[in-house]
Amino acid sequence: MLSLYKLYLSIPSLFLRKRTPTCASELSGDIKYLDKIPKHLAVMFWSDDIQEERLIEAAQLCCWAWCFGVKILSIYEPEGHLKEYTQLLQSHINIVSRKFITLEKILPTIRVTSPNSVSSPVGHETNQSDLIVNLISRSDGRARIVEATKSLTKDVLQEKIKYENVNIQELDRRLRISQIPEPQLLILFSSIIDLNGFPPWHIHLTEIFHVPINQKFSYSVFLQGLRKYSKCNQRFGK
Amino acid sequence: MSTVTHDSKTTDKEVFDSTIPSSPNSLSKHFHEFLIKILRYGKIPRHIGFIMDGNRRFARKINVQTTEGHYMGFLKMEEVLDICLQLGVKVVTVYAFSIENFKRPKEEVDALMHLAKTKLIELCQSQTVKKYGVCVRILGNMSYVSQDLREVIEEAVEMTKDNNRSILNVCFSYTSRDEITNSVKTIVKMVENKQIQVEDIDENLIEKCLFTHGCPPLEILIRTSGEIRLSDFLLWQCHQDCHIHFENCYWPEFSIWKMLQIILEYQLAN
Repeated sequence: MLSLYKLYLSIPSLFLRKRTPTCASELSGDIKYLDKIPKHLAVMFWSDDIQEERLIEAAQLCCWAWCFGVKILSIYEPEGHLKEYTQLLQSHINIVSRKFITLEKILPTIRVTSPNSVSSPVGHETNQSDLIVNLISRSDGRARIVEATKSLTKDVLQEKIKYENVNIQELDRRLRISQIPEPQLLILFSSIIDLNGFPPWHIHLTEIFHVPINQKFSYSVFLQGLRKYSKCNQRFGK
Repeated sequence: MSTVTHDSKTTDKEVFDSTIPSSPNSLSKHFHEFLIKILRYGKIPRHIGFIMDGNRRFARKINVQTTEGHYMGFLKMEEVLDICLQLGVKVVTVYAFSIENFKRPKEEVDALMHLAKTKLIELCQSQTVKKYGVCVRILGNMSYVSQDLREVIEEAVEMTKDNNRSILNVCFSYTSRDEITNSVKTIVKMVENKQIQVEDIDENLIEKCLFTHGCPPLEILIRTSGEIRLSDFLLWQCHQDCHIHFENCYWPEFSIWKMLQIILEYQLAN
């Protein structure tokens, strides 16, 4: 019954297939129709295990994101395995971007980092990169709120901060992942939306996009997500 | 996102009946009950959350006043609550009014507060609440709420506090970040008072200090109106193993059919 249902859901996707671009110039037609671009885009990693092929896809994604003007790309992989491949991902990005971005005179700097790595993007380093690729995991979610609570409690006990000043802003300041604000858009390449431990504090107003019928990593889903975001209008409670 | 409502003018009922297809006649009622009975053979989520968005836009769509949209939203909430309880859901949590909603025009906020006062007690006396033994709780930051409304809320909560078969959490003057901050502050106070040590702080403790403490994990979260964000609702609770659905209809248009489809998808995935 489940497979029948899935088959039914997959019918429209047959008409939606869009070819994966091989060169940056193929994207220009898609870019010009977007009114706004998320400065910080988050993406849920699209596989349970990390193979070479997935890392190449991630490198492609980084190139697309850079072409569209995204400044920070957070890739969420719950178990934290992706963080172990930081170096490898970086070298794939270097290779893929050289092939992909052919028209620019100077290649953009795309730098991979993760919240716990030694070279966290703070201050001047952030400004020097054209795109920061931020690898995050479940440990940057609830666990970080626990850590922030502990540090706040210690600070209150040591009278570094008054109890009255423990508020949303203070907590928000302490929960910032590597000085990075929350993403404006989160894209999932899955048929259902399950946040899978994504940092809860950091998506309070994030647009969450997925395509129920298209369950694979693809340029088409990426583009549809950006299109949807471009049309979104936030009212902030009003 | 606000549902709370209206002093009952006679026109409300008429507008409601003429525009919403789901006031069931007895045949379709039996058919609905039959479908619900079938679904009850499968796994039923214990806790469902709703962001009841789109009352105002629905009112605009059918050319009635904003407050009437909110009134329809309230009726829809009662209807959906009843469906959930028939299915056997234990806890329903609804987003009725966000702290951010206080930024809306004063007349709208005043009207909503007035309607909350009249409808809350009515809700606690309703057939559904009695039939399913619903304990109605109001979750939120009461420091933003006026004294007289706070008294009504206390009265309403008092009326159903001994009901123990199911729970309706009405998030009112609520945001999730405010709830988490409140939990953190509670914990800081506990350490200050030497009830616990800093080392005792963990996810469990934060969860126990949230407004939703004691509720089973949130398994489904539904937002209507086609918006695709959480708008600061149950962020901690929906972070994992929770199906999030963004439905492309206004809250007053949400129907039993959409509800049953979501439950079916949940059952197929589990």
